Amino acid sequence: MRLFEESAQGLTRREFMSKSAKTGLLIYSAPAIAGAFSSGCSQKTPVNEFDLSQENLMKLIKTALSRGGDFAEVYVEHRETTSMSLSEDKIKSLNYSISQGVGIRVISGEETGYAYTDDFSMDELQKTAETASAIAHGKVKVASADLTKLVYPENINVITSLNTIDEKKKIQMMKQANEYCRSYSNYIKDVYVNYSEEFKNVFLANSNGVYFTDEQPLTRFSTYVNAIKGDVRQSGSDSIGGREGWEMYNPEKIEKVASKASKTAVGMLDSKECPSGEMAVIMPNGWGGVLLHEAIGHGFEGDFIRKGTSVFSDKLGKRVADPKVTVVDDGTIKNKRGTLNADDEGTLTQKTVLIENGICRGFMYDLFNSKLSNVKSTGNGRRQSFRHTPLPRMTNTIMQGGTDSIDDMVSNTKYGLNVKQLSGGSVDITSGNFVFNVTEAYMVENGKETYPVRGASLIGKGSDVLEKIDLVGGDVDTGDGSCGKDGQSVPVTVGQPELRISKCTVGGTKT
Amino acid sequence: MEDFNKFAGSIVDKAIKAGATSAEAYINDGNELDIEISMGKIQKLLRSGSKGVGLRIFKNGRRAFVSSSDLSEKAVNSLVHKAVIFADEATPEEYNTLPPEYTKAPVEDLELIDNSIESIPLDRKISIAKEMEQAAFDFDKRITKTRASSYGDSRYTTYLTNSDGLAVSYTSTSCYLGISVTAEDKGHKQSNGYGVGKRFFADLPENKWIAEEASKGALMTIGGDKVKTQKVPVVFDRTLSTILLGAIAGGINGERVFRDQSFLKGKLNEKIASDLVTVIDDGRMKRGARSRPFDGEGVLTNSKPVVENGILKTYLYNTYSANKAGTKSTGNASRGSYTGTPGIGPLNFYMQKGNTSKENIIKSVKNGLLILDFVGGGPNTLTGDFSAGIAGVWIKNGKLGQPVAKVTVAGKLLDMLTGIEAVGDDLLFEGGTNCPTIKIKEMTVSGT
Repeated sequence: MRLFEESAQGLTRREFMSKSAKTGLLIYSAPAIAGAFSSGCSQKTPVNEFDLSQENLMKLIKTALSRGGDFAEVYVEHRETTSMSLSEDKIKSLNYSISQGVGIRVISGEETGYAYTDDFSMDELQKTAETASAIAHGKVKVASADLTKLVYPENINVITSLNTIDEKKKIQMMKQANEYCRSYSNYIKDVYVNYSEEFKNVFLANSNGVYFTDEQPLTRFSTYVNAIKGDVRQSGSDSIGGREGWEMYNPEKIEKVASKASKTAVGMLDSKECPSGEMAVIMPNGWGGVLLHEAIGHGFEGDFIRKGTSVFSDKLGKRVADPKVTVVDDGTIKNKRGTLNADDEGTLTQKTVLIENGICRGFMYDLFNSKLSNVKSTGNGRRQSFRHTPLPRMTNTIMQGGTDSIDDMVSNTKYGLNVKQLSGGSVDITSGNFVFNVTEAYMVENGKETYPVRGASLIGKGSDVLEKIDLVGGDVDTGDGSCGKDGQSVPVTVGQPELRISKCTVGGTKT
Repeated sequence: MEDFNKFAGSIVDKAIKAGATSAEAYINDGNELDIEISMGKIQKLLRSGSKGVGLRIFKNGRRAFVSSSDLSEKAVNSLVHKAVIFADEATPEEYNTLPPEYTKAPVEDLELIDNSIESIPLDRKISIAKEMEQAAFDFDKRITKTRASSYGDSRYTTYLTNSDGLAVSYTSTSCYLGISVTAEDKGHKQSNGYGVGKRFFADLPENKWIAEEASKGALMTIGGDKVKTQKVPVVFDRTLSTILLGAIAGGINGERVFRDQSFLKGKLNEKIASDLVTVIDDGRMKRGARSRPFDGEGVLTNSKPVVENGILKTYLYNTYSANKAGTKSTGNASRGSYTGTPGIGPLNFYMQKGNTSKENIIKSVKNGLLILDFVGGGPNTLTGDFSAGIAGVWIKNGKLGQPVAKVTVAGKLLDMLTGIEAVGDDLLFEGGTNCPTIKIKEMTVSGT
C-alpha cells in the first residue's frame, strides 16, 4: 500500500485528505513502492560543483531577513540514488536519479515563509530568498551571526563506500536472495528483491551562525515473497539496511532476509482466521517497536505537544506507562537508518529520554517549536528534502531492555497472541488510538503456541497499552522503516526487546 | 523558458545515439503554492517551482530508468550515459516496449487549466484559509485547535516525447482547500480533517462548509469507546467509502492479476459486487482531478465501466503488462512524477450514485455501525481480506447513538462488495477517487 503519493499535478501531492491527525509507519516496502524507494551512493560529487561560498550564503540570509524576521536558513541538497529490482527471476530494471536544490526558510514570530529552487545561479537564489522573506512585515530585526562550521562526532562510519562497488556484485547478491527464497518451499510463487543506495550531500547555513555540511549514505536491501496453496495467498517480507557501506552485506545476512520473508509467507498458508477480542499479546523484538512508534512516538513530537493536539501534551512528569518501560529517541546510534550527525536544521542529534520507568520525561523538538516552547531543540528537526520544511520527527525510537525471561512469556500466557511480524501501523495522535497490522502470528493457549492466524490487527490507545506491559525481555533489536507525516517521508528505525502486553484488543475476522 | 518539447526530443536523440534501441523522455515543469494557517498565524507559506526529466530507455529488450532535476547539458549527458550502462545489466524481456500504436488525440478541451488562479492576490488566498479556521472555531465552542487550515494551488506542464515520433504535452492547474480540527470535550480529544481538490478555483466549495464538515466529524466521534465483538451491518460514510474503490483499483491492476497476486484474478465478466454497484474509470471527464489527454506513456485515455451492475468488465493495463497478458493498454499508465516509471493506476475513479439518501440508509439499520474514520489497516488485495481500525457512531433502530472507537472492522472483500445493500445519492467529486455513502450487509466488529 503506497503511503506517499507525489503528484506533479499537485492535487494528490499533499495527501491532504487526511481524515484526522494521522501519521503512519511502513516497515516493509511492497514491490510497487520499491522503485521509488531508492538509496544510493555514487561518484562523490565534487563539492564545489554546487557549493555556495560562505560569503554567498550570508548574502542570501541577509536577503531573506531584509523584511524583518527572527531567523533565516539556507538548505542545500544534492542527492543521488541508485536502485535495482529483481522479480520473476529477472533483473527488471536499474534506476538512477539526481535531485538537487536549495530551500530558503524565514521565520517571523510564529509564521514561516519557504521557497525552493533547483537553479543554483545567484540571481535565482536571491529571488528565492526574496520570496521566502515576504512572510515578515517588520523592520530588519536580526543581523545574522558569522558562520561557524559545526563540529560533530561521527555517528556514521563507512569503510567501503557503496559507490565503489560494481553493479554486478549487487546484482549477484540479489540473485542469491532470490535463490534462497525459491528453494525455501514449492509454495513460493513470486519473489521480489530490491536493492537501493543513496548518497546525500547537504549543507546549510542559518542566521544563528550555524554552518553544517555532511554526506549521508543510506542503503536498503529487501525481499518480498508471495506463497500460494490452493486458494490461499499469503506474503512475507524483510529488509536490512542502514547508513552503511559494502561491509554491511554478507551471505549470512542475505540468507536471513530471504528466509525470514519466505518463512512468514509459507507459515501463514495454514493460518486460520484470527479470533477477536481482548487478550495477552507478545510482541517481537526489533520490528515490534512499531508499537512504540505509534503508541507514543508521534504523540511526543514537539509540534503536537506545543499545539496541545497530542494526548500527551500535558503529561510531562506524569505516569504514562508501566514502570518497566523506558523509551528513548536516539539519533546518534552508529550507522542506523534513523541516525544523523546533525538534523536537517544543523542541530546536533542526541539521545532524548521520552519515558523513564513509566514517567514522561521529555519530547522531541525542532528549532521552531522548541523556541516557542522555551526549550532547546533536541536535534529532531528533519525534512524529506530541500522542497520541504522541517518538522519534529523521530530518529531511532527504542525501548530499553528489561530482565524478564523470553521463554516465560509464552509459557506464562493462558490465552493470547504471539506476534512474529508486523507490516506497519498508524496512529491518531489526538485520541491516541492506533492500529498495527500483523502479518505473522500464532495463537497461544495454556502456555503453548497452537496455530498460526492471519488478518489480525492490534488496536488500542497508546497509553493504555503501555500501562499494560507486564513482561520486558532483555534482547533489544531494531527494524528499519519509513515514517510518514504531513506528506513527508523520513527514514527511521524502531526498536525494543521482546515484551508482553497483558491485555490488548485484537481485531480478527472470526467472531 | 526554453521549449521543453524540443528539449525532450533532444534527450531522446542522445539516448538513441548512445545505443538505446528506443527511448522516452518525460518532463514536468511547474510551480506550487502552499499556505498553512494555524491559530491565526501563517504556519507555512511555500512558493516554488520545480522541473525535472525522467528518461526511460530500452536496449534490445533491456530496461533502465534515470531522472534528474538538473537539466544542464552536463547532467543530461551523464544521465544518458548511465542509463545505457545500466540497461546492459538488466535482463531482456520482450514486453519492454513503447506503446505499439498511437491514436491522434481528439481536440476536445478537457478544461484542465484555470488561468484565473495566478491573478488571485496572495492575500486573498491567505484570507480564505484564515477564515476557514475561524469558521471552525465559530461553529462550535468545543473546536479548540487546528492542526492546519490550508489552501494550495499548482500549475504544471507535462511533456512526453519518444523515439517512435510521439511528442505531446499538456498543462493543468489544481487547487485545494482543507482543514484538520481538534475538538475537546469532557477530557476527550478528537481530531478530524476534510479537504477538497479541484482544477478550477471557482469549483472549490465554500471554506465555511469545509470547516463545518471537518468539525461535525470530530464532534460526532469524540469520546468513542469499544463495543462488544459482533457481526452487524456497516455503513461507510461517503467521506471514506473510497477505500473500497481503492480495493477494486488494486485488484484490477493488470500486472498483479497476471502474476496471480489479486483477489480479482479470473473474475472477468463475473459478479464481484451487488447489482447496485457500477464503477467508472474516466480519463476524459471535464475538470476531473485525474483527467488527462494521454496517460504516462502517451496512450490516449478513455472512459470505461470497470464494474457494471456488479459484473467485473475489465482490468487496467499499461503497455508492459498488456504485452504480458496479450492484450492492449487501457490507457492507465500512471506516473506520480518525472522521478518514476509508468505504473498502473486508475483515472477519475468513481461509483455511480444510487437512489437512497444517507438518512434513509441510516434509518434502515436496526443495530449496526456508521464508520466516519479509519485508523490504520485497510484492504489486502492479495489475500482478499479487509481489516481496519475505525472511529464512528453506533446505529440503533435507525438512529445515531454513542460514538465508537478502538475497534476494528473486518471481512472478506468479495463478501463486502457483493453485500452492498444500499448506495447513497450523495456522490461528490472531491478528488481523484469518489464514492457515495454505502451500506454493507455484514462485517465483523471486534472490540471487547
